[in-house]
Amino acid sequence: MGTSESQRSAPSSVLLLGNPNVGKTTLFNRLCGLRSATANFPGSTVEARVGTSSSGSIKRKFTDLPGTYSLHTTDDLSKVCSYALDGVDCDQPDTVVVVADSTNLRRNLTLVNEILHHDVRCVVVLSMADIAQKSGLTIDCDKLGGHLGCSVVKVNPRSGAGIDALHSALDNPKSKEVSLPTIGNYKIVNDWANEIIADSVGGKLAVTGGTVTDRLDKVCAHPILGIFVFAGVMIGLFWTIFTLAVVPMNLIDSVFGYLSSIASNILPEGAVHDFVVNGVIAGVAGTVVFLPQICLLFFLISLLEDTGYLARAAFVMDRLLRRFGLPGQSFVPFLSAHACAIPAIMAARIVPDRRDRLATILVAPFFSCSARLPVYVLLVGVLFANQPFFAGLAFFSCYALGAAAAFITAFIMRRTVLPGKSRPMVLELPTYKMPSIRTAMLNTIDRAWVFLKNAGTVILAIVVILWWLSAYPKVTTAQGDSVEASRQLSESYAGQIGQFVSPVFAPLGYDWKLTVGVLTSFAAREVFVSTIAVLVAGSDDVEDKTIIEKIEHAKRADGSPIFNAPTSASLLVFFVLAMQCLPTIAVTRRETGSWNWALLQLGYMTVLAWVCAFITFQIVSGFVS
Amino acid sequence: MGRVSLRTQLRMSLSDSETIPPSLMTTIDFPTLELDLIPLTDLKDREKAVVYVADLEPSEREALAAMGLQKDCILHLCQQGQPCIVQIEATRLGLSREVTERILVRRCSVCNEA
Repeated sequence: MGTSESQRSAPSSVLLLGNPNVGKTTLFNRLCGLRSATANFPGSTVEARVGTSSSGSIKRKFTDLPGTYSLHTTDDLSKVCSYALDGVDCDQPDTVVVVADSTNLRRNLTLVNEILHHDVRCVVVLSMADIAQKSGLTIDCDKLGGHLGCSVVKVNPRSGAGIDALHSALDNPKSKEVSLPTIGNYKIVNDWANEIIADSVGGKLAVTGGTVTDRLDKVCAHPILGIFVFAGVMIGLFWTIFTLAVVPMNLIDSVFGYLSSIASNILPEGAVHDFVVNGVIAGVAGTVVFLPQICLLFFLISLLEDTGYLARAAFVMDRLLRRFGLPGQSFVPFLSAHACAIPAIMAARIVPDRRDRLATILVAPFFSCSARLPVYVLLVGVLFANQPFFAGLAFFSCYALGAAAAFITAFIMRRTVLPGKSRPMVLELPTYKMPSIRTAMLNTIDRAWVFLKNAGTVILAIVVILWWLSAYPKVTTAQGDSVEASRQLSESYAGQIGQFVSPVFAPLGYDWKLTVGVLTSFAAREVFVSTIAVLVAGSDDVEDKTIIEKIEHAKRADGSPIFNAPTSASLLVFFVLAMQCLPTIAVTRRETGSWNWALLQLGYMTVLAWVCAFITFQIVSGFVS
Repeated sequence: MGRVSLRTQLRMSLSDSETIPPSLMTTIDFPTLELDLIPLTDLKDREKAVVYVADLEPSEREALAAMGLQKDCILHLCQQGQPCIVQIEATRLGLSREVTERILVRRCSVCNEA
């Protein structure tokens, strides 16, 4: 186990383990800062963050696995932590840093005991020592280390106090053979922990009612009041996201518009010009423009999580979600789904039971994501021009319809393909505390990078393919000149496909142009607006109108408006319910480990969207006529 | 209904030779002991109790034990309801009703512990 000089030149591998809510990730952020990245642990969907930290000339690679209560329970997390300790599917760690809550030593020592049974060097970090001290506990690290046969240091991950001591302990680890209790027999392990605590810890932690956490829980976890608090928090969250995100979104839009005009001026007309301007720049802009909303959402969720409120919110939602066969934990993915279904599906990893997790993944895309917003804005604007009250009501109805479809689908799934009741909820409720802005910022940067990497590349590739389908074959006049954009699109591969498929969408009131728009939006929903803009508003005779006005007044071949009330309402319902996002399908396949679930999701949502859009078209047509 | 199944559970646990030594089986006053044991849902706010048995799936029982809710541990009821909030030493747990109605405890005022 000793570290030779030659070994020290290569970064040594350090694994961070500990119970949930002990400050492990805060310690990781303190050690590694921005020098980290999130990746799946090999062979699993459990996320691990890997980062580097230096102390003098020694560089260390830290791996932060999610918190676990035990290495010997049946859940995936427990198995992954155990594999990581033994170097199964990964490098064997040189050292394990076990983060233990000073105020809850007995339970934390159970995990320490399990880790010490593995053949790996160990350093125990005592977090929350300041809180323990305030509560009257004094911990003797040397005595505790003597009992455990390893180094024990106190570190405050928030302030960074004790980080040097941790590096020293990692430089010169103590290792002593000690007698350890058998794993699995809680009585023996508790007796062992009690003996150690009796010798190393002075004072006794008072467990009393009437604390700030008790008082806040009377409101936040109350069956009725809790719902009002939850509603208030969610309204505040979305108001903040949609209000604050507007400025950076417009800025990003302007930057890409500027880049597009520069590229247009520099590049000569032709295939390269079209590829760069309409393919690459438009594709990147279409993805990056939603980044502010996603960053804000993750930042606020991270802050909420840090306060300890999210665990209470999960219980408030559990009462509602369980009626539909979903656990309370599903609300976090559903919350994320309002920004984008991709991080939502990834966030479903927090749902412990596999069937509960699958149900969550399958219904998450029903919640209205930010990519649907441009479509809602367009269609609601067409349906209720100059009627702000009804426009607002229609907007709200879109969100409500998506949520209702998600819950009803979950109810059906849990009685058909995913039978069984959802797992009863048991959650540790951390004490309320002030959130760490630094941790929230680092988490946001990390999540934003994952989003850009996972979704941006896929969306970009899809948009480029789509651009190619709509740009080729090149149509020219008899004189060899380019034709107008709308004719080019109608005769492109995308246009030909649209005209071939249009009978499928004709019962919904869509002509071939709308069919092309719907088809292209299966790559990414937001593509619909730009496709329609080019398809229906590309003619030169209406140049003095804005793009929305051009779309509103666009005509079919017979001269009737394309966006009449029944068609617009039908389109709105179709976009609320349809699975129109290839990257989401790819992520569903990855997270469920099977194409079957991804295809079921695609098929179910598309058929449901078609049927509901058809019913809507018929009903609204009846009213209009 | 919940009460009936708990009593059945209680009888089953009492007939378990590992739980109650055979030598004691003949001397235990069965009805008295049954009255001492209550589901966690019957405990009142701020009361303390000793956990006796959790009639849950093995994986759920295992997870609860790892979180600190084990047989013979003393819990402090912070808030009754959904969730039921209990504190075991410094661990604060939220339990859904389906879990709490399957956990049998003995009030500390009855068993004179802690």
